[in-house]
Amino acid sequence: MPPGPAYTILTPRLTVRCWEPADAQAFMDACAESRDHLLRWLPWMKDEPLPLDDQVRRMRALRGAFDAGQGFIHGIFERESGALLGGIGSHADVGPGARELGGWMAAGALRRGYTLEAAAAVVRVCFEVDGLVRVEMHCDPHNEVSLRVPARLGFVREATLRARDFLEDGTPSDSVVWSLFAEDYPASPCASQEVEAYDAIGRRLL
Amino acid sequence: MPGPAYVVRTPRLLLRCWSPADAPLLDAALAAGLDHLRPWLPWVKDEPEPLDARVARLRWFRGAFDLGHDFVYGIFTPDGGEVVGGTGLHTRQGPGAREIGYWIAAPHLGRGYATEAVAALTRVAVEIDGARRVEIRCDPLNERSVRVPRKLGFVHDGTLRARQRTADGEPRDTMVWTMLAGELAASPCAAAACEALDAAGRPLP
Repeated sequence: MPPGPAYTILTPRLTVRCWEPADAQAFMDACAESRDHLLRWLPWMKDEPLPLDDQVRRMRALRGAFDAGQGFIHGIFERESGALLGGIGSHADVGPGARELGGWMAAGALRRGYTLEAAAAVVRVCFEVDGLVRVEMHCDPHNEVSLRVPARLGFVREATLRARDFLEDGTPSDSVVWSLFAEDYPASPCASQEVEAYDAIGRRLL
Repeated sequence: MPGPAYVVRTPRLLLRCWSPADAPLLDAALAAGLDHLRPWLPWVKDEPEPLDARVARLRWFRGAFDLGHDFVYGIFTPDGGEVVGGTGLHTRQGPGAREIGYWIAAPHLGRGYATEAVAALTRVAVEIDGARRVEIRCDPLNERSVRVPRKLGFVHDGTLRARQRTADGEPRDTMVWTMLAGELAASPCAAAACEALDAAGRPLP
């Protein structure tokens, strides 16, 4: 098997792929549409939608980090139409062999199971392509939509860490830590998610 | 400052930021022959590179481009179907400067493609990146390479002694050619027709 990372991940309904600078306009539109429903959980939404030039810079920075192996942030698109639905990515700041998975969905893409489908697919890639030993998800204890994702995917709720994050107004907020270990992954709902994964030049990884 | 230019079109060439998917095209261009490059480019001794290494290198190039660290371009036929060579706007000569490097694949030698690409990138360096100085460094024994800055009106500032090594580890001299921003308008580069697009495909002024 070629080495990763997976630039493109396909599920039955979704294309989850590395961002492109040409996605800037769609990203800006999604921020404009979803700012109000996401601002409570994503402080960076405060200044959105930023002008197009800033969005292009952001897309370049995300793809650059992806190419440089520093962080793997994907856009989530509807497979059939190519419409942007959200973002999902894994961050390598929770220890060796482990990554934290986080994401967001546009207001119009909620309640269709897209988040679960995208998250399960990325978890599969984390274990089967990247060979991780642990995947974590962190979320605000008041964010009921987010809490359902790790619960439904077989993650274990380990702890609620006090005042680990900050809301947009600077108020401290708690953080619920969920984890799934490699040895528990095969029995989790993630393992049965239908997935195809491809490397930077389209060679199949999964 | 707008930019950088991800795509630069000249009358006969397409220059653009490499993509990892270009690996097979690059392989084909290098497989056509390396003897003309071997004396001058140390990386040639590692060719042919395995596909995975090639993909990793192109990811590295695009990542550096996206992060604004260094700007390596592939030179393609106008339809993007074939790799003609490689070039780059390198940042290693310090702030306010760009160094241009270039190589041309064997089947495309002798048609002035390097000169056409370098003329366009010199304009891009000054007019889009705001470079105050554009520099070309080459081995004085590499006559084909030396012709490029000479034809384009670069000034030969001097030849530095034993500043580089050949692929065999032998010391060799390095010519330094420069064009200052104020010299561009009167140089042959100014007449180079080119069109530049940013990361999102928007035309750059």
